[in-house]
Amino acid sequence: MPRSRPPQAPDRTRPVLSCRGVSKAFGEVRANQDIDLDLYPGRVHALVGENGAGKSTLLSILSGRLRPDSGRIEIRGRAVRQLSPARAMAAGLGMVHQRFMLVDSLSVAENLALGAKGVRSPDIRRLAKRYGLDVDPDRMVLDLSMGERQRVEILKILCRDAETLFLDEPTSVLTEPEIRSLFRVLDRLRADGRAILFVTHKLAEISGLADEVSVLRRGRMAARNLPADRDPRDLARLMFGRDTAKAPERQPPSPGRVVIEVESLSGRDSHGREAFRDVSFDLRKGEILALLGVAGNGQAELVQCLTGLARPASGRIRFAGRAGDLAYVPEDRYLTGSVADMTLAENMLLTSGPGSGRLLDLGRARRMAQQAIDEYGISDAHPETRARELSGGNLQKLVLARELARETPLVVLEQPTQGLDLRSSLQVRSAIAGHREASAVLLVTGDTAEALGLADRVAVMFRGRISGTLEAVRGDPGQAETLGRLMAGLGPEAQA
Amino acid sequence: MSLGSRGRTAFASGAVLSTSLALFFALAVGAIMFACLGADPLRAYAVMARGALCSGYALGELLVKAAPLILTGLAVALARTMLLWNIGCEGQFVMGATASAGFALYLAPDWPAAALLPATVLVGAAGGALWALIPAGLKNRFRVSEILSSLLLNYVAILYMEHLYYGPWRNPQGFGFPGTATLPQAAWLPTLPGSRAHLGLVLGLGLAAALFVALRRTRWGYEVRVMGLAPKAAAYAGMNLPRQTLTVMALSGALAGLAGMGEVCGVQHLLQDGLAQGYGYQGIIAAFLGRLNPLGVVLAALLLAAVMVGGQGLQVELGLPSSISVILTAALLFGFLAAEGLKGLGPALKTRAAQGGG
Amino acid sequence: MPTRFAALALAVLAILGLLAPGAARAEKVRAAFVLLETIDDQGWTTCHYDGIKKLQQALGDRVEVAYTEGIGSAADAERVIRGYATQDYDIIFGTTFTYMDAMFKVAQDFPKVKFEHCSGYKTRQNMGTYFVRMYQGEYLAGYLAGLMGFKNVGTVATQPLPEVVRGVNAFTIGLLKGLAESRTAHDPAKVNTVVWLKSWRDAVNETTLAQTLAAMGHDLIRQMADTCDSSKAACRMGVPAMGYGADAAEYGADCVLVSTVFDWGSIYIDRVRAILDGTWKAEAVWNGFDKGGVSLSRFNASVPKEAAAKVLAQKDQLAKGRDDIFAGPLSDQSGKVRIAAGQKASDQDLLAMRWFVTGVSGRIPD
Repeated sequence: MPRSRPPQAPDRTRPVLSCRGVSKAFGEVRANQDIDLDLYPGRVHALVGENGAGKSTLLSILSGRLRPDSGRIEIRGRAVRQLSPARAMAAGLGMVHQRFMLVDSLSVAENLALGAKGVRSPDIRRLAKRYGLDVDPDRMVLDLSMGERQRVEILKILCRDAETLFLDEPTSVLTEPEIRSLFRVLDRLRADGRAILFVTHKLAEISGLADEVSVLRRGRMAARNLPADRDPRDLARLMFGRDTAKAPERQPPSPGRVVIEVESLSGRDSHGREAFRDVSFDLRKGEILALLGVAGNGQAELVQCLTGLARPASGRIRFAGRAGDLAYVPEDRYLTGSVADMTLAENMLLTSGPGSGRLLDLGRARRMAQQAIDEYGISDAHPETRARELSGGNLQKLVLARELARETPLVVLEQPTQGLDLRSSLQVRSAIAGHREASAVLLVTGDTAEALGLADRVAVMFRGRISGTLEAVRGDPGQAETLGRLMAGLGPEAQA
Repeated sequence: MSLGSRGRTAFASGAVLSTSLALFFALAVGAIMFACLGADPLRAYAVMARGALCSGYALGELLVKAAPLILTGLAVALARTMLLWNIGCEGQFVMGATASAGFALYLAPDWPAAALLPATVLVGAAGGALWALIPAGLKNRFRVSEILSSLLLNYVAILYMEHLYYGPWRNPQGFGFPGTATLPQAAWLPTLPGSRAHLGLVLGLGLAAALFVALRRTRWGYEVRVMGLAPKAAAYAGMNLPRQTLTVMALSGALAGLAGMGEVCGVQHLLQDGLAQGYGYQGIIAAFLGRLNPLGVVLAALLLAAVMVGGQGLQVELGLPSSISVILTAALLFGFLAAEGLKGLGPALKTRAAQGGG
Repeated sequence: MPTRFAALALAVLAILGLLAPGAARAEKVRAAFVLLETIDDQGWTTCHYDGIKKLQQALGDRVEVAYTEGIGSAADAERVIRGYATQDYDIIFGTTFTYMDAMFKVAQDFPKVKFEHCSGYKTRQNMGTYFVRMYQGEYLAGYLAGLMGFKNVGTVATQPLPEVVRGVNAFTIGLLKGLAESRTAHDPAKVNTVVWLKSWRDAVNETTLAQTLAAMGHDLIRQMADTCDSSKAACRMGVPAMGYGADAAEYGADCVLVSTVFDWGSIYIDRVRAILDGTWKAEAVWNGFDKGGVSLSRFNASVPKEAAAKVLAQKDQLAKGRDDIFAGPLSDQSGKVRIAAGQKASDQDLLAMRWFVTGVSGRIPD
C-alpha cells in the first residue's frame, strides 16, 4: 500500500510550488515566456489555453523533464536548481500524462509497481475502488481501452502519493460519470491539502472544480490566478484572443440509399473474448449515426469488423460499395492514423490505396497536404513537415482531411475530437457536418454533447450491445440525461 | 523559409553531425588503443590511410572489399527498414555463392560468356533469395522469429557448402584437397583494368541507387517504410504484411546472394575454405553505420573496407596485432550508437515542444 | 601435396632450373609470412610462428621479417601477398593451402620475388612448395604406443584428406610393429579406431569425440587436430594421449606420452639461407627427419627407457634417410594387398593415399 502521506497541517497561505519568469524556447519558437505561477496546498488551479499555447512545455518544466532557459522554480519556498524527473518525484510532484506512459506488455499492477515499489494488486484494487477508477490490476495494458489506460495513469500518480499533482487534460478520454468521479477524487485530494494543477481546454469543467484559473496564450500568461467562477466567455476571449467560432448548424437530414447494413453482428477481441454481440443497424447516405459509449464497451472491436481489419464471429455486414471503400479516422491518430516520421505529404498517401499505381504521386500528395493545411489553418506546417512535429489537434485535422478527400460512400470516425482543444474540435465537427451530404457517417464517440450535436441518430453501446437508440432532437436537455443512463447501463427510463 | 523545410535541413545536418561524432569517437578510441600498444596514433592512422587510399592498387583492393559489404549492408538495411532482422546474410551469401558456382560448373559450363555470366549472376541472387524465404515463411506461418531462424540457417548453409566442396563437388584434379574446380572463365565477373575490383561493385552501387529511389518513389517502397515506421498504421492502411515480408526477405536474400556470387565469380573463382568470412555479419554494421539509407550504406561499406584494408598495414609496418581493425570497426559502431543516443535527445525535446499546449 | 607432385613438379622445375636467371648472393633478406590464424592460436599458426622465431634467431640481422595474421580467405590473401610483393620483400611464405591460386597469380606478376607455398601443388619458376613428412613422426608415435602395449587406440582425425589418411596409416603400421615387438595380444584388424572431426580444429567436437572414445574403452587417444583439446579431454578422463603439431604438454595436456611436432623453422632457415647464398631455386620441398621439418617432443616421464630408446633408434634410421614405413606387403582393410612384398609406396602413392591399412577401424567418408 502506498504510504498515505497527507501533508501535516500544511500552511495553506504559502505556495508549495512557484515559478517566476520561466522561459523556454525551441529554436525560434518561444514555447514559454516569462511565466509566473503559484500553486497552493488545498487548491485546484486550472490552467487553460489552446493547442500550442505552451501548456505541455510548462508541465514538462515543472515535472523536471525540461530545463527552462531562464527563470526560477521554488518548492516550498526553496529554490530548486536543475529539477530532474527524479528530484521532482522526490519532492512530491506527480504528473498524470495526457499521452500514456505505460508499458503495453506489462499488467496494470506491474506498471504501477514500476512507479511505486511494493504496490500489489490488492492495494490497487482498494485504491481503484476508493476513487472509482475501475480497472483490473491483473490485465495487460495492451488489452486496455484508451479510457482504461487513462485511469491507470491517474492511479499511478495516486500510488506515488504525490503532494502536488499535475493533470494534463485528464478528462479528455473520460465519460461524464467518470469525470464526476474524478472530480470527487480531486475534491478529496484537495481536502487532504494537496495542490493540483489541472490543465484543460474545456472551460466548462473549470467552474465546478477549480479554485482559480490561469490562462496561457502563445507562450505567455494572459491572465493569472483569476477566480474560477469567471464568465467562461471572458476566459475564452483570453484564450483565443477573440470570440470562438460557433457550433455548426445542423441541416435536416435528407437520407439517400442504404450504404451499410449490419445484422446481428458479434465479434471478439484480440484475446478471443466476446467484445460485442448482436449488433444491428443500418446507415444511409446523408445520415450521421453516432455510436455513443464509454471506452471499452465493444465499440473498438465493432469498428475493426466494420473496417475490415478484423473478422466478425457471426452476423452479416452488407456494404453497398467495393470492399474497403470506406474512409476511417482511427482513434489513435499518432500511431495508427499517421506515420510520425513521414512528412505530411507522405502521410496523405497512407490510405490512397494500392490501386494508385506503382509510383508515388508525390506532387499530388503535396497538393493534398497543402490543401489540408490551408483549409484547416494548420499553422507552422508545410507539406514537408514531419507528422511528429504537429500537435494532436493539427494531426487530427490532417487525418480527417485525408480521409474525407477519399470521397467514399462511408466514413467511420472514431473519437474524432478526443484530446482536441475547443477550436480544433469545432473545426473537426464542422468538417464532419459538412461532409454529411457526400456519404454516410458513423461517428464513434464517448462525448454525449458531440453525439447530440452532430448525429441524426444516436445508438448507445454498453457491454457490447446496443442498449438503446434515439433520434437526436436539438435543444432537448432530457436526451443527454437519457443517453447518460443508457451509457451507464441503467436503461432508458425517461424516453425522449 | 518555412518551418517544415527548416526541419528537414536540421534532420540532414543532424545525421551529418552524429556521423561525424561517431567517426571522431572511433578515431579517439583507436588512438587510445594505439597509444596503449605503444604506437604513435598519428603515425598509425597515416599508415592506415596509406594502406587503404594512397595508391590505385590500394583503392582497387578497398573496392574489392567494399563490394560484398555494400550488398550485404543493403540486404540488412532493406529488411530493417520494415523492422525485419535479417541476421542470415552470411548464409544467403554462402547460398548465393554455392548456387552460382554449381550453376557455372555443372549446369551450364559450356554456355557462351554472354549468356553464362548474366545467368550466373541471376542464379546467385536466386540462391540467396530462396534461402531467405525460409525464415520469412517460418515467420509468416508459425511466427518464428526471423532473427533466430535466419541466424541458425547460416550454419546450415556453411555446412552444406562445405559438404559440397569436400564431397560431390570436389575438384577431381585437386589432389584430394577441399574445393571445387575453377569456374569456367566465361562465368568470371569482368574486372576493372589493373585491379581486382569487379562487376559486383557496379552491381552494389547500382542496386543502392535503385533501392534508394524505390524506397522513396514507389508504392512498394512506401509500404515498406510505413511498415517499418508505424506497423499499426500499415495494418490500418490495409497493407499486406505477410506478402511484403516474403518480398522484402527475398530481395534482402538476393542482395546477400549477389555478394556471395561476386566473391566466387569475381575474386576466388572457385568454392573453397575461407569464403564465408563474415561479410553477412559485417553487413549489419554497414547497414547501421549507413543509418539504413542505401546511399549511406555505400559510404559505410567503403569506410569499413578502408579500416579493414588499412588495418592490415599496421601489422606489417608497426607490428600491431591483427585484431586492431576489428577493434576499430567495433569502435566505429559504438561511436555511432553513442552519437545516436546524443542526437536522440534533440528531436525528443523538439517533439515535446511541438506537442505542447495540449 | 600433390599426387603427381614429384613427376609433374620436378619435371617442370628441372626445365625451369635451366631457365632460372643467375642468382646473386644477398646481404640481407626481407621475408614475409601470411598466416591463417593469429600467432597465439596454439595450433597451426603458432607452429609457423615458432618457425619464424627460429629463423630470426638463426640468421639475426641478415633477415628482416614481417607477417600478417588472420588471413582466412583467398581473396584477402591475394591482397596481402601482392602488398608484400610491391613492397619489395625478397621472399613471401604462404602458410596454408587456401592461398595457392592467389599466390600463383601474384607470382606471375612479380618474377623477381620468390614465393613459397605450404602444402600446395602449383609451382612456378619463382614459386616453390614446402611441406613436411609428418607421417614419419606418426609412425614413431604409433611404434611407441605399441611398445607400451596400447592395443585399442582412438584417433580423433581431422579432414578426410590423403595427408591425414597417410598419417593414420603410418601410426597404425608403427603401432602393429610395436605390439608385435612387445608381444601384446591384440586384434590385428582393429587396433586403431578413427573418428572424424571434419575440420582442422574444433575445440568443442575435439573434446566430445575424445571423451566418447575414452568412455568406449580406448586405451590411448591420438590427437590429430591443430589444437590439443582432444589430448586435454583424454587427460581429464585418465587416458593417456599423443599430441600433434605443437608439444601438447606445453599447453596443459600433461598426460601426453609424446607429441609429433612440426618444425617449420628448419625449412624457413634453409629457404632464406638459399637466397643469401644465391642458390634459391623453386623446389617442391618435402622434408622428414632427414632434413628437419618434423620432430618429436620430449617423452613423458611414464615412458619406459627401453621403449624410448627403441623409438629413438628408429628415428635415427629415418634421419639417415631410411624411410621404409610404407614398405610392402601392406593390405587395406578388406585384406587386399595394396603394396606387394618387396615394393615401397612412391611419393605419388603417398600423396594420393585414400585407403586405410589393416588394423584401422573406421572408414574414409566421401
